[in-house]
Amino acid sequence: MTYFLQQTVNGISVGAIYAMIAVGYSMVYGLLYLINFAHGDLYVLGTFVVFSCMTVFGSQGFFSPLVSCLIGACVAGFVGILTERFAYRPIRSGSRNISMVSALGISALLKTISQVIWGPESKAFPSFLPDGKIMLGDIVLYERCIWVVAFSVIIIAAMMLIVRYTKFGRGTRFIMQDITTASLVGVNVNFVVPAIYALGGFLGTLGGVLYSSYYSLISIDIGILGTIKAWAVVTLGGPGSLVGCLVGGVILGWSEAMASSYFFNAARDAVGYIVIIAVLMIRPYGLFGKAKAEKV
Amino acid sequence: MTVVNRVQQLFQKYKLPILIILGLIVLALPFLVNASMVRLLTTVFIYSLTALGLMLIFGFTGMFCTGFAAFYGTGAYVTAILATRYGTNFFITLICSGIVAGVVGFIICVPSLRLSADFVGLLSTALLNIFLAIVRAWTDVTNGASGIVGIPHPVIFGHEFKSKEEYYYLMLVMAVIVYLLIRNVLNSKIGLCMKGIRDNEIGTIAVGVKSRQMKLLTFTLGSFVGGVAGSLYAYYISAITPDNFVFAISTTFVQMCVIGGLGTLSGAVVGTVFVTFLPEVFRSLAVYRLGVGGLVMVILMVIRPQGISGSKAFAADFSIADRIRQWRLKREQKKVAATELEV
Amino acid sequence: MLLKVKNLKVFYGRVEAVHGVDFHVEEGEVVTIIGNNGAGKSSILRAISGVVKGVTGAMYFNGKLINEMNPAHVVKLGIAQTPEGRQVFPDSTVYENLIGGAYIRSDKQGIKDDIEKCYDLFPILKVRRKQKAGLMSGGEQQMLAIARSLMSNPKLLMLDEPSLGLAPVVVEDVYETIAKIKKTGTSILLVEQNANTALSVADRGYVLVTGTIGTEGTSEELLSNDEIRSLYMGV
Repeated sequence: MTYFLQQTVNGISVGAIYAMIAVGYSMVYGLLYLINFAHGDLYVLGTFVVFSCMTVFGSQGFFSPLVSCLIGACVAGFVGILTERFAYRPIRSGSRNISMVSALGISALLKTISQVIWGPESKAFPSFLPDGKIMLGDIVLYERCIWVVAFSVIIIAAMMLIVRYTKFGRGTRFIMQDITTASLVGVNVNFVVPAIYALGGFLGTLGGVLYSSYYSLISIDIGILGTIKAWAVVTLGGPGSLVGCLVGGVILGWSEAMASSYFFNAARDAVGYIVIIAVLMIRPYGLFGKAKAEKV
Repeated sequence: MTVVNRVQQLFQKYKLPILIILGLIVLALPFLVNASMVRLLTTVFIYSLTALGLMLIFGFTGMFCTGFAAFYGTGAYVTAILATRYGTNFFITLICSGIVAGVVGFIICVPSLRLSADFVGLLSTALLNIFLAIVRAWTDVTNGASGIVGIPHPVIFGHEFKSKEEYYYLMLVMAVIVYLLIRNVLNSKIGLCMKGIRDNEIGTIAVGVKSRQMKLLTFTLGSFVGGVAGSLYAYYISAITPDNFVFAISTTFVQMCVIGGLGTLSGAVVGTVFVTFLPEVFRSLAVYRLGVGGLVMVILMVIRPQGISGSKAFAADFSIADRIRQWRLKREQKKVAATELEV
Repeated sequence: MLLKVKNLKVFYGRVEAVHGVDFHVEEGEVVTIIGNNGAGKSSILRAISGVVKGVTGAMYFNGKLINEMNPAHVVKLGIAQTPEGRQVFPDSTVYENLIGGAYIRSDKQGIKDDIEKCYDLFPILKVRRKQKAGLMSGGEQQMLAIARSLMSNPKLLMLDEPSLGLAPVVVEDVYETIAKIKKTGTSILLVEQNANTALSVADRGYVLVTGTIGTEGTSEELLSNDEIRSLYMGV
């Protein structure tokens, strides 16, 4: 029983990281239904920038990691805006397969840029989360788990408030329903859409930093993994739903933790996917997703 | 009239002579080019079959099958297991691999029909991962992560195909046979239904075509072809591991289909040629190769979104060529408008 | 002159849908462009709103060239379009749709007042204000779409086929409302297939035939024009 709870705690923490990585992806996907294959490589680029900043500024204390994270996240956000402007906007009106291939191209491009600047080997990412632990009976609750979960919940809640109550959020909700009509009521689509991409890169980098400092690892290969995880979480939680992101991420993280402890390691990924497939069979649009009305 | 349109027009007019000449060139190539090019071309033949299978699924049913490598891999592993353990005949192994892959495809398609396109994408990716997990874990049968080695050379009517030229011709012939078979299916009445679903699903249902069954059929056919391609692949490289069938491979095939032109058969071939030769062209750039390749991919999508063989109907509303034409027209207009401002 | 359009051509890719049209709208006028399906009517409105990119020619609003402006800026300038087919935001409530119409405005009290004005003009909207717009009938959606456009306080209201797909009784209601809007002094550019109804409320009209303007004149002139009567009103 203790083992089960311990693994549950671990699973939820990892799940919170997945949710954080997925939030940025969810906003882009919910907005334009673009499967952004470049998401992972974009936030890995951002995380690498954070890595370099931390190497320069040091990784201890409070300010240095904070500033490094902000710089990295902003760089990723900016690159996100660039990719929107040049690789996605020209083909926005076409079929989504076209944007998807374009995204695959961008993914390769970003991965190469990261590789050229930082090299192909994995590096040790400085862990700046506090190291302490709290004992709950027999279960070890690492402080960093609390930080990770709290951080993800706060950020996602903040995003939900923004989407619900700000003008910007209203604009995104209109764009999600009908992009042309949104522009006809005065929503500046060419501002909102790049902004969402920027948010995607920004939030994704924060998630990537959490991931890298949790596992003390950064490499160019985790980009594609991140994209698929984000895709899985958003599908599970339902496109366009931020709550779904959090719930989906936690479910995925927890399933993986259960799988690797009670089955074997190779089953880890597979079990997560089996859970997703099971959910999709019962709820074809994800846990909190809505059917999108197709115009015939 | 754009360059591509002109090429397409010429092709239509002189179809037979062009095909004959191309055919002769392809047949003579092993004697004209160096060894590594022969090997590259052989892989192009195999990959174009894989792309063909994916094209049937992706281009004709619209199902976003990003996990296609699972069928390709299934065919490869069935072949590897049958050939190394039971020494079965080439054709039997080929057909068996295709059938197993087709069955897997059928099983995957049934739940997928209920989901919208994007969800199918994740479903197929999920299945790819499950496939890889099974392969890696079921070490008794698949030898886990180390893979299966020593797949024997194909033996047809007593002749063992082992040199690179022999493989070249074998794969070429197999690819042509399957391509022609699929083309015949598409030109048949069933094929008409498939094309209908590709172009306008609602309209096709409205005329009484049972779209679910059609999609199931197309999907199964596509995964069958993928399995056959996987089988040929296993014979060709004679040693396979799970890493040959990862997600990145799957997305490469997706790129081949989209770049070639979704929903066209020739697109599968054209796309494969393009995507396979692109890295070769940039080989000298070493580490930059991947990035430059990606950039080319993006540029191609922006200037020719319907793919090389694709029809304009699938393209975006407004392309770069149009934009340039607009800009020219506008320059003239501005000169005229400047003299007319009298509001 | 509020809106002046000269030699407007609209391209979709390589296809020229509108072949150089000239028309204008004075302040306070209701002008209609009538034409059959595929004549290019919607393309003209889309060009003015900045929603299509393939536009040549010149469009002046209050003397300012508005070719290919960002659609959001066009709305800020004071041109609002009620698109073809209503195009309400289906998952948002009636109230949210109306707030959406006022997207470019920041005067909270003014917006509240205008919403009340809309409820007066379209009483059904007040009743349904909490309902999801996608669940309303065609006529109600049309009212909502027009109200939404009015929320941005436009100087020029452009209506794209407001009678499309609506029962004749409902069309009457809609056009009564358009007449009321005309009384408030808003200029209206109305694009319609239903020539009779459009000319009943318009001051002047243009007839669009496959991308070119054939006849123009005041609505009395057009209504008594024999050719128009036989072509468009089955007389």
